[in-house]
Amino acid sequence: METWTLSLGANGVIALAYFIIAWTILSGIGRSGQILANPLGVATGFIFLTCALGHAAHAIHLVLPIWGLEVAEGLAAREHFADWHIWAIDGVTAMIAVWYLTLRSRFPALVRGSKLFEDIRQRQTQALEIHDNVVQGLAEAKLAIERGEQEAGLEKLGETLERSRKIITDLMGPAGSEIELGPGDLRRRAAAGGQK
Amino acid sequence: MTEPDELITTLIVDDVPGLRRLVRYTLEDDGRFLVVGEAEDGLQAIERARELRPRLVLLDLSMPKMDGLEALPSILQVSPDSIVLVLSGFSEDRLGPIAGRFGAMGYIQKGVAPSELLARILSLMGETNGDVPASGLC
Repeated sequence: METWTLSLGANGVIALAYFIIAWTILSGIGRSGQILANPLGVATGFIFLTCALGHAAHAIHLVLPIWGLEVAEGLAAREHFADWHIWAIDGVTAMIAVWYLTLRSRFPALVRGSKLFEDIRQRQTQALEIHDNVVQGLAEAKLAIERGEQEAGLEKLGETLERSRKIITDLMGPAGSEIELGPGDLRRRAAAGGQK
Repeated sequence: MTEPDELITTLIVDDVPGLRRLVRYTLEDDGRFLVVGEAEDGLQAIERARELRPRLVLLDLSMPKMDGLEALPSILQVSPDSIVLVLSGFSEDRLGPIAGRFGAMGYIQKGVAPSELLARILSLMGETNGDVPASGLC
């Protein structure tokens, strides 16, 4: 067996693995509408795509002489890729490419990218609203009652209760929406007031 | 009774007027504090601190225009001798270390009883050598 065929095999494997990886990343980003919002994910996908094209080009160049095409260039390429340094590195690259492909279950984290970031930001906004409208109100009511200002404390408690209801209602989503509440949606994991 | 010049001059920073009032009354009833000013956001807090140079600043975190974390370094810049204690509704575990990194000397969660609020303030000031008066009332 001529040693350039080792490079041919390795480049073929690399190209195929990189095409699959690029497709997985870019199609996931496209489906979740993050092409503009996740530039890192897009760039990563395109790195794999362009590298796949490069390695595919190496492989094609090596086999073209079989069909009498670009014979001189193809034979020169075979001589270059016969160098053990080249096919050894290509071989290692191919193994790493296959290994990376087996880690496909972790690609969603790369795709989620900025979506995950947006979810965290949304939760922080909700947390701030609960803090400002509920925690602050309860803290004020408690301090007032502890200072003997019963009426002021109870009034503040009433206000805070109303604000809490509004927040919860808003979080539940509007009436008539696609996620309208139904039987089973209000089931709790444990009785209310039990969690510390 | 604590002499006037021994009183701990205090600036209360909170966007909730009701809470500012209650905290002020709590401090003044103790007799060791003199509330010299109030502010309802971080920008006002910096200006008041610059004018008043209080010994103690009780600083809320979640406020409009400028929040407590944004204001903290500037407060300490314009009033370097002030002790800034955060008084916030957020959990101390979550925001305490962050507030500390920005220069807060202590963190008190809102919702503590008045007596505990006073005890925590005096304890934290004592830890920072804030020269706490021995007692408030005669």
